[in-house]
Amino acid sequence: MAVPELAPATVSRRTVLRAAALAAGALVLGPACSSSGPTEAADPLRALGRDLDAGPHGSDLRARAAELGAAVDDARDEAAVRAALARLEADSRADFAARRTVVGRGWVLSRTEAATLVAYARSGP
Amino acid sequence: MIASADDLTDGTTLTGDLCIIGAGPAGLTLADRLRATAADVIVLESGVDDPEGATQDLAAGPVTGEPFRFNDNDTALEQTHLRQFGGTSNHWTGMCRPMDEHDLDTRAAVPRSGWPLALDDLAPHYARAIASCQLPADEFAAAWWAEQTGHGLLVDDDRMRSVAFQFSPPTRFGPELRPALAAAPRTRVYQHANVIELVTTGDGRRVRSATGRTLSGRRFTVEADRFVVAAGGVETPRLLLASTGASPGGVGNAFDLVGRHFMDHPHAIAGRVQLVPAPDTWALYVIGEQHTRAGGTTLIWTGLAPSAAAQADAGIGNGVALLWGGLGGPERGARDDDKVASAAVAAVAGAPAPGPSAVLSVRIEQVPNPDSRVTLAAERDALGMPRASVHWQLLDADRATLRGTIELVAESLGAHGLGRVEIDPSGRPIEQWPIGIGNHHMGTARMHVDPAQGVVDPDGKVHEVDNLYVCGSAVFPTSGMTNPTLTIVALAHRLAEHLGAPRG
Repeated sequence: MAVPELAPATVSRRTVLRAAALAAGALVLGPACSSSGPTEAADPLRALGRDLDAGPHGSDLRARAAELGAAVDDARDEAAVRAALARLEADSRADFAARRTVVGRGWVLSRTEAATLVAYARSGP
Repeated sequence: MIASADDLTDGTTLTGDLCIIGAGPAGLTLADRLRATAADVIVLESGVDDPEGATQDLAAGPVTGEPFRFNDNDTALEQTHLRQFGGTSNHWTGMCRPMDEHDLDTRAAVPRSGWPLALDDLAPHYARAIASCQLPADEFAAAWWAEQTGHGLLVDDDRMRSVAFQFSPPTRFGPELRPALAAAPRTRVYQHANVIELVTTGDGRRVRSATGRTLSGRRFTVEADRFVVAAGGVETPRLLLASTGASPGGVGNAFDLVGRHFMDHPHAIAGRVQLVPAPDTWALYVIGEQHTRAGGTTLIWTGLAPSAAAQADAGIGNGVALLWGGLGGPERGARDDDKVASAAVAAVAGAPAPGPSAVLSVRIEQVPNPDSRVTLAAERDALGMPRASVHWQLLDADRATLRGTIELVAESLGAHGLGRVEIDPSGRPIEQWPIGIGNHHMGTARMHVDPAQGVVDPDGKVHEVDNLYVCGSAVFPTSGMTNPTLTIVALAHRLAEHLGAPRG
């Protein structure tokens, strides 16, 4: 999956999570996910993350989401964000290769990208 | 010579060395190869060169269990195979690919699997079949076709294969072989020649004659040293079951196997794939596209098929996903409302625009199932013969192969960073997915070395009958995922050599 290009010199943890969630969700959600801001109630990335959180794999995904949240804490500049996103991408591919997948709204997602969406959904507001 | 049975004197008895019942790709290939022998061959075909309603009605019969649907339309039994000179090749699309090597293996995930042949045994006959079907090349490796057409492959590794299907023009075996058969001095082809019974000796060990009728009322008999039934996966068991002179169970049916294990290739629009931008690497997979090769154009369809190892690990049968370009279809319903691929992603997030999307059309091998079967209906046709009744049954294992194939495709594309797959595109559980057919009738006189497990032996001879053979998809022990015609023709070439045709 393509990693979004990010411009800001410094970003919040939540922004990093959103970027990661966007990377995970953009391909399958299309324009709906990118046309709404992170604070909008109708944010489809958040909705997908909440679905996954409440689904049969929610417990496992929350545990993985906690790991991911901690992992991006140090990503405060562009280089770090890019590195974090690249790690997520690599982890995601490894998940697919190992058949660690979750179905979210019909889409077959890697455990890592599903957890990314859960982490973003739980990051508030 | 090609003649009409309507012109025979009522009550005529024809004699020959070999009688072939059915003039489809199998029967006509066999007859064509045997022209080079000294055998007097009689070919009996129900139809004529053009389709006829009254003749085609002889193929009608009830279908129970899973309904027959083809290209989203309810389909009657008589629409799925043709009683016409050239057989079902008259409406064949021409899609060809040999069986995969593991299709012929005994596999834990596919009960009753295993052919008494290896792919090497079939290889020389496939080479002849490729010529018979007028295919562009004798190569089916997707990598070779990618090189020929200047395209790349999405994936082709030890877990997920890219598999290529070639297309015949398509060969219409009737018009194609008619001139040679008409001129052959020892071949007599009779059209409008419906066989309604095989008459055997009292012990059922030999076929004495075939009883024929025409719709115009002529009766005739064919006596021959050997008989070959090449009438397809429905009409072949129908004829064997209806031939009850020596045994109420029919000919070659001491183990109650004739008509059982009926298989088709279940098809489903069972997923959607959203590819990352890589138009060059998916061009070879766009269904329906012509590709330039060596100055000409060739129609090649390339699909994604889990490897033998991946299928074994997942505990599923063979299957292939073909990618139809486009965003959805009637089964997707409201799901497209918020998932349409768009360049807006790039505008907002700086991400590249999503690549092409496609519907995944999955076709699978179904487990040979004795309860999926052809029997005789109570109703009789215009000739007084019991109609065929098809009970097509799918098992949970078949649904598992369908879902498992899609999941493996999804995982492979994800692992290679190529895209994501949406499963259950209709939003309904897999048990409710609409399943289509391929009009591929197989397995009803299956091949096995053990008479208790198969109707015919590895040569295609009916175990219990010394001079009766079956040729065609009825003998397939398992179906693989590929269209059957190329293998039908290959088996016809193989049987022709067994019956004396020179290998030349």
